[in-house]
Amino acid sequence: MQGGVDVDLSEYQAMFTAEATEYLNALGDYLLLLEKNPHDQEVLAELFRAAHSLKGMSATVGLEDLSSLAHEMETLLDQFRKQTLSVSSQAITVLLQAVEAMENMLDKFSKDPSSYKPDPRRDLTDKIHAVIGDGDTAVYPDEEMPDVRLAQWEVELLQKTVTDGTIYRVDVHLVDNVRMKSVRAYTVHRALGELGEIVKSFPPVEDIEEERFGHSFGLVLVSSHPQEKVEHTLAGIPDLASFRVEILNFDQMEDDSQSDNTKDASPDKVIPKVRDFIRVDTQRIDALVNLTGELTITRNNIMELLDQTKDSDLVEAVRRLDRLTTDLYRGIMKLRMVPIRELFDRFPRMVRNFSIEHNKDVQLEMLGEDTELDRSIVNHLADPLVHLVRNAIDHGVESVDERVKKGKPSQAKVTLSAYQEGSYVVIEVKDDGAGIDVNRVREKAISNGLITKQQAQSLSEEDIVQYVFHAGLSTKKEVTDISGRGVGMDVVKKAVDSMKGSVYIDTRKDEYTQITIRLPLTLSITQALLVKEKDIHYAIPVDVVIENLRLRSKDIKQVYGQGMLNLRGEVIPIIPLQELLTGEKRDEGAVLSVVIVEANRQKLGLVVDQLLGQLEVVTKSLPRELLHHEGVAGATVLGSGEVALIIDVNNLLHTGRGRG
Amino acid sequence: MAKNVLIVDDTAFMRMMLKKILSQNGFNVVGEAGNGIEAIELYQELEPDIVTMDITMPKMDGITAITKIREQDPNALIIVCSAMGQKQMVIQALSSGAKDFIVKPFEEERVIEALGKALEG
Repeated sequence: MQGGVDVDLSEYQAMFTAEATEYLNALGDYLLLLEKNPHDQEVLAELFRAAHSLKGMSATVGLEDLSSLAHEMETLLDQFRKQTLSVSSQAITVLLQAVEAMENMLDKFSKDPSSYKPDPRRDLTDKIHAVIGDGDTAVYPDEEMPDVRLAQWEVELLQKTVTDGTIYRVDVHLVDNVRMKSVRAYTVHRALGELGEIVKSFPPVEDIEEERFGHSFGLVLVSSHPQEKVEHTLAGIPDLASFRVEILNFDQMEDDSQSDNTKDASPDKVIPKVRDFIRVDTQRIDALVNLTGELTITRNNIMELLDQTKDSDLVEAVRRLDRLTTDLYRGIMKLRMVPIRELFDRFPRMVRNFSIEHNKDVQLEMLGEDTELDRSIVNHLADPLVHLVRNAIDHGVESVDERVKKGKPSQAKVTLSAYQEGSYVVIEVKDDGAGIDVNRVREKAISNGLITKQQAQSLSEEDIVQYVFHAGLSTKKEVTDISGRGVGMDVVKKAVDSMKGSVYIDTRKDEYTQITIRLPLTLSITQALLVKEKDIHYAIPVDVVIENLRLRSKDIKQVYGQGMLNLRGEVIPIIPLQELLTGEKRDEGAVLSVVIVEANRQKLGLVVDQLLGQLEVVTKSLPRELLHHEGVAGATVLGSGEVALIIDVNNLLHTGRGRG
Repeated sequence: MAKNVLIVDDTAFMRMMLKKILSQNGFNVVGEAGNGIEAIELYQELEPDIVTMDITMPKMDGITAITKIREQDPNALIIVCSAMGQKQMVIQALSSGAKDFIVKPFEEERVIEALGKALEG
């Protein structure tokens, strides 16, 4: 059976995707480093290893096109490594394109492996061949080989410990149709282990056990047997296509390690991110999140009951339970968090490629890569963010000539930053390009019938420019050229909305454009203010709550039938929550409980019957009949078993404005 | 001189497949056993040059049989046969004294190489 294995791969799918993504990211990063340090053997070794690993693992899952592209890449990298070809900018570009193509393949494949159609991308293989040049491309180096390199301390250790005996480096290539290659490698290790001691394995033994290698592996053997004996032993092992036994001497190794040292001093030296981690199915974490949510609710329930007891020991025990539950909840939420670096990693390459393509000179600055965000949000954020950065370069940043004419630095700057703000993460994409012409956006919004001339006059420039997110404006192709932005901005907004986030644009003509995305840290647990209105519980996310007030009804002035409150000089509309949600008018008492909320820079006062207190709620999906209820984001089950509806303030403000 | 082989496998079909491959390549299949106990008995009786040993079998599994045969004859040459996905078992069999391994579905070339090299070594 070619190009696949008999076992069911579906359970390994997620692991494959995650690991392949890591390798692709590594390829991208190291390629950029290679461009700066074309002779860095360590970088070349990393690149080679990544390409090689990808080749092996993608062939295993039947991703032939990715595998063959990785093979081509490996061939070219090997030439760099052997210094039979020198690194050129053109070569880097081709390799980066290949990485991008591989990313696309992986993306498609991981979404639906069964319907995946391989695309061998002859165009790219041809380009790689062109770089390799006239050296007949049919001649590939026989097999890829993990780089055998000893660290300084290993060399020292060997020097000290090996008083007699010879140090052999052994390379083994397995036949293509080998079965259970890890076991085959095990028999090689076992047979050679009888001759002496294996001091190093390439890849490491754990990788070999897990079959994380292609068809080749290597090892360093210390043995008192002659070379012929080692070779004879290998010859007696089945499934070996070829092998090579080489005597290592210390001089050679010292040379290697010395050159290593000099590289340590050079800037841009990569320190590989080594972190111990395990991969866990996100579903398992989600199950824990739900359980913790339930536990939180039960805890709250106990806390309520506690008010009625006078047993101080019990109170103390429950306080401890309270603290532990909170810690547990935080700990579990952390499990779902990943640094946004995972997302940002792709941008240096993308920006490089894209600016070359568009003939722009762009410097990318990234800030706050360690900011953590819920995994599911990170996944959904990738496309919108790529879109925004592309937009910034394509439509925002001016050509070098234009910039010089405007008296701006010829190199443009695109800044990608992330930071946490309460239970939100803010991501900003800023460019110092041409900005957006607000007047043109206004004209377009009017001519496309989104607003009337009259409305346009009452709207501030700030409000007008937000219309670039409107489908009626942003999908119009011509807007791109006029306003310097536009295509697909509605898609960005939709994606952000679906993550319960908000997006805002700020721009100044000829100076900058900044797009700010605010996203909740997590989608499943919310801190909320519990209120009661007409016997129904509602939970208002605390992030939007500005303050709670007790008002006399006469403090509220009626303006065109709309209640208005003058709060420290600011006029805020006041609406009973029930009326807002259902349209039912209600009789108001003399004293009102009002919750002032804010979203999208608008404030609103919600009148409720009763303020009950603050709690953590787990969002549950709503029953179908309530799914499209405006102003309701979800539901949660309270400790008492009662259901509370979670208020979607963004949506509510929209509704409120429509009615008001 | 043709080498004598004892085939151990609980399925008749696999024994037949293996017998066909081996016979066509100049081996002399002297016996067939369907479980570990039969294998031990037949090994004593037939004294074959080499044994192919399935792992999962009724009554006594291949790993136990390998251990017992090697106790009687420390030089016994045994090639363990396994299906895909039995990696740990194969390693266990190898550390119990099996000389080498082959993987089902059998490929003629691989089988002959494994037996040939085991007999040379």
